[in-house]
Amino acid sequence: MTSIIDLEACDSEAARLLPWFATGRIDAEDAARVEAHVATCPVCRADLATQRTLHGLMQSEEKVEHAPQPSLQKLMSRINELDREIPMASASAAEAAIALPRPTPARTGMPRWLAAAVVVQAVGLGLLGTLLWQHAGGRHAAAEYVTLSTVEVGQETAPRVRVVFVADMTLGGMAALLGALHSDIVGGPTEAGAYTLALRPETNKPVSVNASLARLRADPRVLFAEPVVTDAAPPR
Amino acid sequence: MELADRRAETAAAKEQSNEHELGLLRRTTARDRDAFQELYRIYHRRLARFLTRMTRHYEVAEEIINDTMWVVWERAADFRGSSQVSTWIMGIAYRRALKTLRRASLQIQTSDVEAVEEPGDAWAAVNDQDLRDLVGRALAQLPIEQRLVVEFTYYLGHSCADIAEIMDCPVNTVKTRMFHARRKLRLMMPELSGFAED
Repeated sequence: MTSIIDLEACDSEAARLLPWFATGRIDAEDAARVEAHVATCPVCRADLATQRTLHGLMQSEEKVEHAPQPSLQKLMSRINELDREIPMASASAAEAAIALPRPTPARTGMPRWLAAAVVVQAVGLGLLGTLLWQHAGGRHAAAEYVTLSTVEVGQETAPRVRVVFVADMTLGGMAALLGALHSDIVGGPTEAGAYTLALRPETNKPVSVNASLARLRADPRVLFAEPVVTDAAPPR
Repeated sequence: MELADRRAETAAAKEQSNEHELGLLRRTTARDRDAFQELYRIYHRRLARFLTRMTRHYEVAEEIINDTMWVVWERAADFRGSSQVSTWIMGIAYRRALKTLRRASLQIQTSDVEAVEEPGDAWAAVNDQDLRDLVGRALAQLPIEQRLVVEFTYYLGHSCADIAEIMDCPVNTVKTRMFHARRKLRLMMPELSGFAED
């Protein structure tokens, strides 16, 4: 009779490989080693039978299929949404204020698109008004409040990246990350949770978009970071 | 000999499916939506059952799958081919799942999963369905990392080396987690060890 205590008696390396020997997902050399050991070890022989039972039970489990299509549609909507937002975000704030929506094939998501366009236009108009006011001599009245998304003069031409943070990103964590990257939020969050960051140059150092992207992607709190490609000249 | 044949067959099938998935991933890099959607369906099938088992809620599993596949869509170009496509995608899914499971672990352990029955009840497990239920409840009692090693091994059929890559840890850590998991499962389910048959 094999007892539970007996089964713990073998702590050989071969015993540690038994589960993968039982499933056949083991390389030839290890398999030969386990096979030779099992032939001489009653403890491991009994345990191999246990592992095969466990494998069989887990493999034969009632498999409820979930149709992928509804989930896939949700994801594709998210992807299409982001793809539409990136070209819009790549335009300057002034351009966004006056640009007409790009002609796109008719989509069922048009109302969301229009809503996003109105928001971007509103932000752009506000920004344009601020810039015009500053050019008109109002620069002495500097903004009294500085926020994470405060837009400075010159940012409209700064390289931009699109970032999505994890859902539980804290405000403090975001501020520290933005500070370390010399960047400011100039847009977002969008419906897909994406922020647009403008990258400021450090003193005597040009902006390296690739280096900033690498730092963002290495951060576990960043789900996604991509450059914003400026593919359209502002209409003049 | 039989085992060697089975191993060779598994390796050949794995190689073939990796080639196919590699082709889909390359096309995904070029923003080919059809290729991406095919890849999605492959991994939805593989991940949905597994993650629903783990989280006990399909809605949570679906969220993890979509977060995972979104990263695949955006970062397909980052795949360097140093591992199998499945290992790379499962690694992304693992990190997303672990985070969700850790957040929910207290709820799962205290409310969604009934405690394993007293030994008297466990002995009454007479058929495969009873045993499967018992295994499900016993697995839910394991620490998440140990449970994931068992699931990756027996449910998804990954090798020890693959699991180390997915979990981004040394191979020995995988073996140790499995060792502890097996010991706890034996204690929770003595009938699985053949103890009841003697």
